[in-house]
Amino acid sequence: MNDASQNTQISRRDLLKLMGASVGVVAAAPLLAACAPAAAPATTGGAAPATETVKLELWTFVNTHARWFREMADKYKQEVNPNFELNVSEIAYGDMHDKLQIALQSGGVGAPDMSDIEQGRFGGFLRGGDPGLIDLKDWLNEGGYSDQLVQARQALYSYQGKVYGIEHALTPVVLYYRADLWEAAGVDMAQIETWDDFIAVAKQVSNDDVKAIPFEDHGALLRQRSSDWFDAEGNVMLDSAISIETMEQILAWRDVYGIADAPTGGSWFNNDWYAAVKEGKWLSHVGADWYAGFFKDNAPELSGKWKAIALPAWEKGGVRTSCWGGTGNCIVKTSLHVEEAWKFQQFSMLSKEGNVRRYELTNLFPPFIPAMDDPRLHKPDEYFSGQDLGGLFASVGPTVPPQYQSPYRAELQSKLDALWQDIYDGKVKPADAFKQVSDEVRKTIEQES
Amino acid sequence: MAKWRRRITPYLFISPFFIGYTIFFLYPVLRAIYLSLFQQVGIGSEPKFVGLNNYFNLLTDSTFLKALLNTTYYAAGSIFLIAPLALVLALVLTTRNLYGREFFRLFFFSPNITAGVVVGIIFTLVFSAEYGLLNNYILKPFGLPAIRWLQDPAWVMPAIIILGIWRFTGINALYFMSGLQNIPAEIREAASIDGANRWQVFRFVTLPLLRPITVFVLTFAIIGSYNLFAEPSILVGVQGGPNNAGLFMTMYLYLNGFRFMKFSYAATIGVALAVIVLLLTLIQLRLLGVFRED
Repeated sequence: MNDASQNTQISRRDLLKLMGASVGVVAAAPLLAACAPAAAPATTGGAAPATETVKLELWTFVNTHARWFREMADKYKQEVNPNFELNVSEIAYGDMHDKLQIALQSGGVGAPDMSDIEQGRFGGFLRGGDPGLIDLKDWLNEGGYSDQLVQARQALYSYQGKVYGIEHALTPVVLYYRADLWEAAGVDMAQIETWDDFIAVAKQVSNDDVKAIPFEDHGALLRQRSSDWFDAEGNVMLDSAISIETMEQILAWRDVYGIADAPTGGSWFNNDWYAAVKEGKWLSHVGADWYAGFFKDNAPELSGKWKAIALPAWEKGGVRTSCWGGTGNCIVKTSLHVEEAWKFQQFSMLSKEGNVRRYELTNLFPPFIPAMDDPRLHKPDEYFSGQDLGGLFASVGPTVPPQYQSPYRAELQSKLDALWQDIYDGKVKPADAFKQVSDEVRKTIEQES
Repeated sequence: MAKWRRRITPYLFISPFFIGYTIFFLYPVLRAIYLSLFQQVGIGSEPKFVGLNNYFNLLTDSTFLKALLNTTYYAAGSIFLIAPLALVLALVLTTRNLYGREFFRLFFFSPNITAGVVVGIIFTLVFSAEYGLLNNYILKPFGLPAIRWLQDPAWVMPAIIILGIWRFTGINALYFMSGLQNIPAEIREAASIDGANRWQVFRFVTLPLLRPITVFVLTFAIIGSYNLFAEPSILVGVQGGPNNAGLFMTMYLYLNGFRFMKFSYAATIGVALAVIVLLLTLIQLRLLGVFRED
């Protein structure tokens, strides 16, 4: 009895000791493992032997992109490499870019093989010496793809002679308008060629409650005029004469002609704005191809009432489109399967079939020229009164202007975003606001060089 | 050997906490202080030692100062509005004859179990200028003009404080309630018998005895205010809204670290934030007499 109780006591104490020790080890093990560097990253990425399964990880923040990539991966597996496997992780916009950044910053620990990067966040990746992404330039040239992709779009992912990504979307900017209301006012929108033409007819339909157009995106309208917030060399151009004049002209739509006002709720993406659109308070809006989807999602009851024309030009014969937004697909340098990733990119992003299928799933007009004429891109769109929107996008496609990437774009955008409301409200002149932001960004550039 | 084992055992038992603490707290803090002495921008760049340069830049960075001012504005609202409101609410909810007391307790506590992001999204609908709940259903019936809550820089911070009142009054009232329940009824009764009126009982008996809880509530109000991130960044956008009127220090830290890729500058903001919170808490503790020997 005595012996037995002693035995149990001892064994219990031993057990507890063991537990204490093992808890410590168990708790620490994964943490320590997480701190250790990942398996030595291949610099050039040799292809795995054909018999072994090649497993790739791809990150995206767009639901429809994820669906398209998964479909493409299945096809690639059937048609090209039966040992290919692609895991597509769909992660929320902010989280995905933050995580990717941390992974690249820590030398590729936990990084995917491929990732989508939104153009607004891409500049940030260029901020250091090396974004940790594969330069695709030579491969794109050798494959003849450089001539097949709209080069202006590739500017977004190009920096200092290197090309780090392939753009998903052409993002042609057009003028969407309420066909029913404009026609009721006796206006033939097809006749409009320039902003002056537009202003002239817009006066007929605007009153205190209803405006022909909201203040539109300064960057998009500026790019239409072959300028931008940065030039190709990365110099700040926000306070250039044409940039200031463009903003003054936008404000003049309200202050001089009475055809416009600040968008309800301060932007074209908030609930107030969509509510006002549904109430018929706004008769037109400048937007890229993706905005067609925004209309459909947020104002489905207006189906059959909208149409679109090419963007009115700033002068007769001028460019009738612009670009706005975009997302590129990139290969991460530390991937062990860089070549396989590139082959998959060719199969999905650089093929006619892939581009057509993406349009069907995402409504993004492809920047890949051989796909533009495919009849599947030119079906009549019910929401847009049966119009062939694809035809409109394709017709302006070749003149889509470039948007130059800069490591400082996010910072400039952030400073500018804080000032739009004051500019709209007339509290600060565009010239002063643009000068202030430009000087601040130039100071940052100077400090870091 | 057995003796040594006996000595080491308790440490092994508490080791999981310290291992976690070292890896997830101590190391990042020390690393942040270290990083704040360097200039490191972007991926794949080498850190360059710059001494206290980042701190000097911080002092002349108008956006940072704006964020500091905004955060302090909110903290003031939190201390002078939310905390007193919570105390009043606690007093009401501990009233003996209150009908439906349990329901009200649950009701006021419920905002606390809602995620910050969800709260932010819901309040964008509340504050919407044209179609919002506040303007159309609360201000309008009283003949008050519509306020552009989220577009007018002057109204952004009051809007965030209103959100804060909705969200945090309940939990603070709960703290005060637990404090009130710990005050023996006899003391208050004794004061009443001695001729104190209800206000005097509250002012000279209840309030002083609530001091430990008040210290707790105010300390957490300060820490919570300076750490607030999710609600304002959803409500006005992480960029801070018009004229940066809703930019909190945490948001500016995030912008610098993750949008502008200025890791070392973000670390500097983090260290500054920690120092400010520490100083304010010490001042507050001193004012409330926590270090005083009774």
